[in-house]
Amino acid sequence: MSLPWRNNLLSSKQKIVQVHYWKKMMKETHEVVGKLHGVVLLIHNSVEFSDIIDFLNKIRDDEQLLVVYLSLINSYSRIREVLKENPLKSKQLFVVDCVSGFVVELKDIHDCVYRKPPINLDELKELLLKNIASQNPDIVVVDSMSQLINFSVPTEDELSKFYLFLHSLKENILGLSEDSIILLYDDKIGQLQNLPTISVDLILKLEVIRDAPRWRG
Amino acid sequence: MTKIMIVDDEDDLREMIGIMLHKEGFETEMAKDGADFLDKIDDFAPDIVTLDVMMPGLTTKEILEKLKEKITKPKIILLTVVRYSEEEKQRLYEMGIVDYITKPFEIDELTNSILKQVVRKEQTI
Repeated sequence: MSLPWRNNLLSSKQKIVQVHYWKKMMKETHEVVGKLHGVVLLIHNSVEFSDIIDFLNKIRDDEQLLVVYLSLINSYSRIREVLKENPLKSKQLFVVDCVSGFVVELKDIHDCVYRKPPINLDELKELLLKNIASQNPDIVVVDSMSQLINFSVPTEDELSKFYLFLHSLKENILGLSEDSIILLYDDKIGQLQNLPTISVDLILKLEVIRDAPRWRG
Repeated sequence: MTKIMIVDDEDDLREMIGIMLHKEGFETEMAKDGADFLDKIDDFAPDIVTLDVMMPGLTTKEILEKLKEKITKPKIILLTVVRYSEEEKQRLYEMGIVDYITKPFEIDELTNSILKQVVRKEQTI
């Protein structure tokens, strides 16, 4: 969208390379989340695991789904601790724990495998592919991309590699046409200036309101 | 003067922590990963080490194992993005970690943690 006054602000060397249109859909959000398929990439590590459970419980409400949660943040033991208080309703969780092995050696169990954390997007893709092939999940959650990219001040090289990663996910991982790549972030880190949009189907912002609203009578 | 070694693979964060701790009156030294830390530890002989959990190369477990072979026995404060369970935190303390700070953190949080260790050290002298 190009506005006349904005053109004056652009220097002669700058040119518009991309235009995005945004629609705020408050009422339709539950419908959009309710039908989600595909890979959910959390942008930042600030989303609490209990809020991730709440989000997963809203996806395809009563269907029995398998969720692969690739964790670069929460240990499996911590996940179990949180699940006791906040159970997943109709979803089965399979955890790829990339953090616990750094401190203690652990053996894989039926609903969790322990792996070294990926050090770049290629390794992350490889880890995703392996676990998607072995588990055949309905939903995949990666928590979080900020372990590999700083979205507040990403370099051009980082963004370019991230776009290639997203494109590659689309090509190799997402088999069904209804599957999509979803970016999920919360507002704790403020407005992100460089939110990637290429090869992304949906961007969701999570806003958690902890206190009950106080109405004045 | 209390000596602190900052071990982190993120250059900016390492430098920033170093500058802030230096301003607080601590003598500081940097290491970019576990191997670099183990190379420098006996020369610098730090009282306290801030150790990033997820770095390329040696794991935290390997670093702590190799540390046993060194002359210097510093107090270790872990800096990490990882959310551990209460049981795991207890295990970390048993491994000799004196404190555990979750990233992102305010510099005051780290300074307070270091000061607690300095006070404990002075009380035991």
